[in-house]
Amino acid sequence: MLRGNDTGSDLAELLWDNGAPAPLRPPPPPPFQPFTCSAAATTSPPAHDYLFIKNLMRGGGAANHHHHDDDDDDDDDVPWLHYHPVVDDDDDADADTAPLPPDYCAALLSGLSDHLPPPAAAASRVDPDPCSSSHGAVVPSTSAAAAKQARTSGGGGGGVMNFTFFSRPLQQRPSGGETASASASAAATSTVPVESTVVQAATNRLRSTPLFSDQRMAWLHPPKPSPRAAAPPPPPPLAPTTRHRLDTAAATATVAQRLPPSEARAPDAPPPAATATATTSSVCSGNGDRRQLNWRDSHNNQSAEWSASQDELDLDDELAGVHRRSAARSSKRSRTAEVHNLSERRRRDRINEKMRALQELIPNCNKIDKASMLEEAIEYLKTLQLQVQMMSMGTGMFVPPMMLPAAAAAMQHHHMQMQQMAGPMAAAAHFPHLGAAAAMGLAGFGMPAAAQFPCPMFPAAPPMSMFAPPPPPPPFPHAAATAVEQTPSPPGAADAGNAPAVKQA
Amino acid sequence: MSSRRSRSRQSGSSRITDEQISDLVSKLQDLLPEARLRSNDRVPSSRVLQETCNYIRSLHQEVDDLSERLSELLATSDMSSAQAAIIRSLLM
Repeated sequence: MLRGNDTGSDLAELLWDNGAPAPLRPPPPPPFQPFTCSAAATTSPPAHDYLFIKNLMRGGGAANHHHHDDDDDDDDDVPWLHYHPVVDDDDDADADTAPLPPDYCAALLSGLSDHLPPPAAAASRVDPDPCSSSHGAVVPSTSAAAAKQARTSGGGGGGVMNFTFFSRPLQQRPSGGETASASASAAATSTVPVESTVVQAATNRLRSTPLFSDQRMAWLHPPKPSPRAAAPPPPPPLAPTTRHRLDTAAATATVAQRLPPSEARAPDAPPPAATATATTSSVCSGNGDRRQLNWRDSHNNQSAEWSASQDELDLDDELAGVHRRSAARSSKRSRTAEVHNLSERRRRDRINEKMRALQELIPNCNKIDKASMLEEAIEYLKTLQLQVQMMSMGTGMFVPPMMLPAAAAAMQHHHMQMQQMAGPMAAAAHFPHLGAAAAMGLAGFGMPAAAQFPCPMFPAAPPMSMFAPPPPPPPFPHAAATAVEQTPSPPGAADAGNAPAVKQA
Repeated sequence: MSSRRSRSRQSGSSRITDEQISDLVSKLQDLLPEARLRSNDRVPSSRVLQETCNYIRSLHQEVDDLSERLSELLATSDMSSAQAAIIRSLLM
């Protein structure tokens, strides 16, 4: 599969799964020969390397992390690390970011090749076994002094390797932090590492120079497996995926263990990557620029390493580009979801608040659920409208004092008779005493006044004139006379007028 | 994982009441005078509820005014106390 070195290495599989793309398959002639050599060495670790890592991770508490990942598989918050193949394909389609996927591949590689090169023998290393053994051995035992010495003493290729391998896990860190935070299910905290990546990427982009891109490409190409475009990205089988997760977790774990010595930032041994999301993310975001500044300051006088650090910066830049892009996507999606949730909650809060206000306005409303509350409100509103109509009608009706007895008698009769009829009416629920009046109001709108009232009080007036405040005076004597005349016998007269009213109501 | 399932279940059960509630809110909106909600397009529920509250308050105010007027009329009228009691029971 890879330079004839076909040991069935897990890394090759890993690269297959995580989208080392094919378009760049014919690698340019590597100008930086040591890199290619060592990189080729890293891509063929024996199988026991993985076993070692697995054991390490199980011991280091990353098994927990892995478990969370599996749990999150069907959730929305799947770490966007898993979407990387898709993202890479998109980026390939964009055609402006062709070298990105190899960078990502390198990022994945960094988990294994992190501590690969001891400063001196990095260029000439061919045997993968010491790599894997040193991988685990270096991690816990590295002290700050040792790390600094390794960094500064290593000249040429060795130092470069060291820096690149130091730097890339740092870029890898956000992904690890993201995974851990996703499993921690804190949406707010999960956006924090993403944004920190974006910021860091921005600062890196300002500083980056595409000086050593060719070398980086050469450095990156050898580990690439056989063409990927020929085989479209299959859904990764479970075992490689978990291996890949383990690998990422291993990268984060080792970085978390290595960072404090090199940066002297965290006072004591950092917690495992899977447990403390905030710690890792904060360390990562805070370290991004400071680390590079430190390195620049310490290496300004060493020209060879300066170029190396440039290369590493560029690498970081590209990696950050990959991460930034996918992070921007995922954060955009989560942000829109968050905004949606927020607005939805706000809307519900507003509605509930109005519901409470409505409940206070409705008398005797002890309904709890919204639906019956609203029904109650509707009925109460109807009742109120009827009441207001009745009262305005009453004020209009009772303005002439002469007709009061007749109207009162008629209304009383209506009251007695129509209350039975209006019994089932909803208005009676709130104002039982208003039932007749409401029913009469209903009936009164549709029929002439003569039918409504036994005695034609306003013979020429349309029915709605009852609501006009002062009726014209001329018909009054007659109306009053008839009213008084009719008062002694309200039942009969009312009966005559009530039949249509009942019919209409 | 299970959170989403429970979320969807919850929203599924609350969606029915959401429909009911939106139905009731539209009924409520029909009862409101046109001047308060002068738009045929969809009015947010909270606005309908707010206008309902305002409308109910205004109706209360109107009822108060009218009852005051009626009581004045009843006080100034020379009807018998029984009839006044009838009217009061009828209208108050």
